[in-house]
Amino acid sequence: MTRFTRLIAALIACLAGANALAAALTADEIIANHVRARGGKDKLIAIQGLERVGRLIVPGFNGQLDVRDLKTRAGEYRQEVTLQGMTQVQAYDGHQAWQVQPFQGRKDPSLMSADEAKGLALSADIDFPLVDYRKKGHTVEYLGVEDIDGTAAHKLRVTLKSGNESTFWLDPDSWMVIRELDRQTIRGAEQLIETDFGEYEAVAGVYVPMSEAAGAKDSDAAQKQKIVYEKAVANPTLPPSEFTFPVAAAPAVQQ
Amino acid sequence: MSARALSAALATAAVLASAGAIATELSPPPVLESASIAGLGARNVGSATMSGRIAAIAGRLEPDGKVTLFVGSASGGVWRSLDGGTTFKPIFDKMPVLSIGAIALDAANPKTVWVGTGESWTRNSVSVGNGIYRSTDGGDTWAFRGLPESERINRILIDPAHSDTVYACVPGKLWSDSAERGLYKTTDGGATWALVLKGPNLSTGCSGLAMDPRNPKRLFAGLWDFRRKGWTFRSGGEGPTAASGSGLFLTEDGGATWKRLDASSAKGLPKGPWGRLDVAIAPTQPDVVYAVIEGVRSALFRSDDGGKTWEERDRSTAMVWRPFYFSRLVVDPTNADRIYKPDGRLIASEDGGKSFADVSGGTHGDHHDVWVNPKNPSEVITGDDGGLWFSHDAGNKWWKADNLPVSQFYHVSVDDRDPYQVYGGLQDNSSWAGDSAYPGGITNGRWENLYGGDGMWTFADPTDPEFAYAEAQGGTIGRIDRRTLTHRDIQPRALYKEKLRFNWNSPIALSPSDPTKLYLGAQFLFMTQDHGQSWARISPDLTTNDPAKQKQEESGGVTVDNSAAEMHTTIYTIAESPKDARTIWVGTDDGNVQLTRDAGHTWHNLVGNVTGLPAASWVSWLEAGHHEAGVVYAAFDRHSVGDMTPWVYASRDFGVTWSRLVDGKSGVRGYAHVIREDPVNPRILYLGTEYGLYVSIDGGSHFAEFTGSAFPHVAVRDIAFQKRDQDLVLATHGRGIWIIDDLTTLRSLAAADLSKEFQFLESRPVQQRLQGQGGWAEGDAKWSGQNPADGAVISYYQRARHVFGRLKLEVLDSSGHLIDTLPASTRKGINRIVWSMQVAAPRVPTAAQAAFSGTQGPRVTPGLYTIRMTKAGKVYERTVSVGLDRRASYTLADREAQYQGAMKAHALFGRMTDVVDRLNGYRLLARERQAGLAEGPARAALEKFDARADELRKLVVATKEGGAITGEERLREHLDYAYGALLSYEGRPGDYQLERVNVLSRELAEVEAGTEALGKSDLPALNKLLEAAGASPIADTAATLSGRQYAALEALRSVDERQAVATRMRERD
Repeated sequence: MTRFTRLIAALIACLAGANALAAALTADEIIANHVRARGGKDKLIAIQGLERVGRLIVPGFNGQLDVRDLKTRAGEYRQEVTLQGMTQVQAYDGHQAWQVQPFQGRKDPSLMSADEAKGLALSADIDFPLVDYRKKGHTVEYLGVEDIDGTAAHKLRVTLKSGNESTFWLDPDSWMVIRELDRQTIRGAEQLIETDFGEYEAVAGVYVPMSEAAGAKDSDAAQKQKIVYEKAVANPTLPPSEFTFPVAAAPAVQQ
Repeated sequence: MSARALSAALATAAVLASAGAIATELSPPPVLESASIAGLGARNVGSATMSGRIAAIAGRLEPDGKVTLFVGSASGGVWRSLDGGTTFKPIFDKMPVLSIGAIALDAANPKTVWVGTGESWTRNSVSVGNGIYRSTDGGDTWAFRGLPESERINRILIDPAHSDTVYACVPGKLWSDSAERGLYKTTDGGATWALVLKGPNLSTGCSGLAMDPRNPKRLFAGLWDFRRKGWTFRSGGEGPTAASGSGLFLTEDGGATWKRLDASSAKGLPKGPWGRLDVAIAPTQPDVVYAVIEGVRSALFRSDDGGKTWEERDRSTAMVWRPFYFSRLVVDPTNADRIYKPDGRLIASEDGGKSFADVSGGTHGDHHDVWVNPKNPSEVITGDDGGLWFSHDAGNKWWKADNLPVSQFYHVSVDDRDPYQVYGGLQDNSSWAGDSAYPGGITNGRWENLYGGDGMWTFADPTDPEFAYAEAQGGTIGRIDRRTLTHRDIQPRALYKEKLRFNWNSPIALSPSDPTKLYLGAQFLFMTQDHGQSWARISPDLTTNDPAKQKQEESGGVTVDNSAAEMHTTIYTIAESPKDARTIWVGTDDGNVQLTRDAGHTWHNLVGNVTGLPAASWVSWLEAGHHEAGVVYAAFDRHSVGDMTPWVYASRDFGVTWSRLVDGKSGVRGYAHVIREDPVNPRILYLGTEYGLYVSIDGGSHFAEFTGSAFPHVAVRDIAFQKRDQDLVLATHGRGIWIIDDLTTLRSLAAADLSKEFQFLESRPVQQRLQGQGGWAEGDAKWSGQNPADGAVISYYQRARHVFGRLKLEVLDSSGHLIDTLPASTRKGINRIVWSMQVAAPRVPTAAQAAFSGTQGPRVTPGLYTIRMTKAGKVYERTVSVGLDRRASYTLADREAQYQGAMKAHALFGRMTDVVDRLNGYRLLARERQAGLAEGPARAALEKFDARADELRKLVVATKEGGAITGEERLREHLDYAYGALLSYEGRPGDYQLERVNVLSRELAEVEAGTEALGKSDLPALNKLLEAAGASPIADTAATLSGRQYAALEALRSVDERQAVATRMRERD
């Protein structure tokens, strides 16, 4: 056996051992690996708010859609999509969700349903729901390894406190989340939304996905709507009015 | 992760990376993996209009009144509906088999679902299963729970009080002896199974099962003796009076002991021998038991005393017809006297089985299962060979499910229309032609029925696209005039005292050398060159002509069943060499591989040269090489003798020597239906088996399963090439037609180094396809097939998934200007990105509503463009040539004129935006200066300035809000209309359209002049007054905000917050 082949044999044995360990992993171990790989618990917690700006690409639609995505550790969320200077808003203040849908000529806010609020509450989680899932009131089940576009990914099913369910697939090498499947119930009907995550970059020492592609379950990449974030800022100044329903506001400039 | 831990991790990664480099040096080149090619993607074009055979139905009435349905298709998996059938989703596709025999829902645990694989309606084309599965999450995920050798499962019953106690009724293997058949029971949720009732021989399994709702340990079970061979079938013994293992049994102790019920033990039951039987207990009166028994006197029997005594009831044709295919009894859950018997027609009785009426209505026919709503028995669902059907009036009228694309194609071909059409025949669902693309989606209505019967081979006539050849079972070929949908029967006929033997699936082959030439196989090879006006026999009997395999008139067992399905000793595959028209290969179902090299004058049976192949192996496919005349590929299908492994061979010397490409150890699953050689690259092979598509890029040394676009483990029975568009078209037997667009990418992958981190791959020449509008709202209950990508497809290969850092994919024009940045895909292997070929949409000024035409940019003009990928600091480039749609009726110059016209309007939008931004900036700052400013000349001037700015703004944009149709149109809205017109047609624009843009430009110029005057004249005067009042002046340049900033300010509606946010946004931008 040459020096190289011995080295390879040793590595194969080492990797085989790692695989055996992988097979015996628990949900908590996988989540611990994920947290470590993201940057560690301390750095995750140090991010109290996150603002990302980028571009939304919708298949078949060529217009410039600017996206601004805000979330706080307090569970607040706001997403803006701006087209031709008109900004669609969907926001959640930790209790209720509201929106502005301006493209057909109305710019005043309206409340969203409790079912829809659950979806925004999920988006409001500044980490993935996997992190500190017990504290958040969720439960997690490890479902083994499943192929995700050629990656033998660890599959974790999270039953959310809200009653909805999200499934996560984690890359076994980087421990990053590469896919999420959210099951929501809207007016008694099930909705499944699949999101692929990628292009992770470090923000304040924490790896954050800078691309998110969402669509129907099992849809091809080309069929999904994709947000490519150009910039992410940790702990920006975010006034409460970003998230709260602007109930007392009056137009400052008449249109 | 701490910095120290991170550096440690990076060091470890570096060690592994360097070791990987060493391994690469010493290892052979990477072998093609499924993940490498999955990114090719595939699209299903349908169709659900003919749907396919439904084998099993299970339903549950939910507490909120909705109905949850699980539908098991014969070979297309399990489909779940959570909305009573309005929409369905396939939920079993990741399992290794898609043939479904039984579905059971646990009454105690609504999330628990059991599926038994392997259909039990044992026609000649039936697929196979591999055991039983359970889901504990309502069907989202499945776990294998045993019975791997069962092959097919007919019924599953769950003890309502003990969810882990389950009975599985296993008919067992169709094509071979097996001890793994009978009634199985588990008491631990499938961890272990006990065979609690078995037959007296190795061909008898379970065909019926019923549980007493009062006592789950009391069960009736039917045993069935059966066997199919390539040339015969028996249900029961070998004939009406031969011994049979079939029988009816009763247990009172959960299967520990059984009592046989027959003419001697239970008065009223018929004398044996029996064939297939089913048994059902009336839920509302469990002492009422029904059994349909195939025998010398096949009939329905009823017991009113729990099985002690029986009385013969209906024995009409519709009750006893073809028992191997129809043997289900369903009792209305609210009425013991109302029974459904799915058969060729669906029949129902309301008098306890004394009389039956046909309640099939407008369904397809050949019914297999029925579900009745337990709270509303008028709601009935049935599944037949044509799909799923809903009745809201207990079977008087039926509503078809148009959303189950489980069509079972035998074959597929394509024509050269643009877009091309696909042609194919389906099990019991005729022969059809359908679009490969259609504006708005390939809806069910885009498929056209051409013929009838069980559809087989179907082709467009190469000499006249208005005509097609289609074939039903048994070689009944017709030539169809597509203008009138009339057909002419052109099947060759027998000579004096001769019998022609046409296979159920008789081969038709078009000549690759002569568009007038068509071959058809019986036991002889026929050839026509005049559209079937005359046929020449160009061979002797090419089969074994074994009389032992020609006794179809005796087929059926207890009940004679002699359809063309058992016709044997026939030609099954024909291939004329594309390199030499005189070289023709013929394969037979009884194992001959025949070759002529002189156009049929002399024939040689070469099967003896095929080393290791068992005798009499069914030749499922012969593929003459596209590149060398001596090359031939052969697929042999031995499932009809119980061998489910693939047998694929190749010869490069006209069949003198053969090498086996695929065997049971090669990673390929399922018996082989079709092997095809790529028409461009002979190293690429496509193999269709009972469980999917496999691809080789090294001449067959290795095969990788194709799993792109969640392609299911469905039988791929035929593969066609659309050579102009470089597409691969798949005929699946259970999930319709699928298209893998543009094989150019795969071909370039075959020539690529798979160990490279990244590389661009080839795509076919890009056309700017005409963008029609089609389709209309059809609701949610209609299925629609996918169109090909609308744009230029950029293909690249990544050795591994990209997780960290940016993938930047840019498009540049020939001058190097950036046109677009595309969202890159991160998957391992092939990635495909669609570039719309549009320039960025114009900047459009903010107004009351969106300008929807202004959300689009015009498509670039044809020419060369550069695609640039930046990955991990490395830059990769390649050029893409963009051309016009070959169907375009306009010239390149026309296209350029359209582009220039649209870009003129595009630029005008930008000018408008500049003006409105400037005016909005003036207004905003004027409002801010007013705050806290006392009444006086400065404040009055501010108000006047603000009003003038608003006046000018309202000349440009509509401002009436409220969500209503205001009809308000200003310059922006007029331009949007004009711009939309210019975008709608990519040929030369009308002069009036261009002039309209000029007019709007002149009108805008007037507003621009007014704005300029406001800034140059009014603003300085205003600033003097502001300074006099102690307020800061308004700087002209600082006043201009982007529309987005302005809108954000508006949305916040608070001066203080607006100012804070505006500051942040300026900093960020």
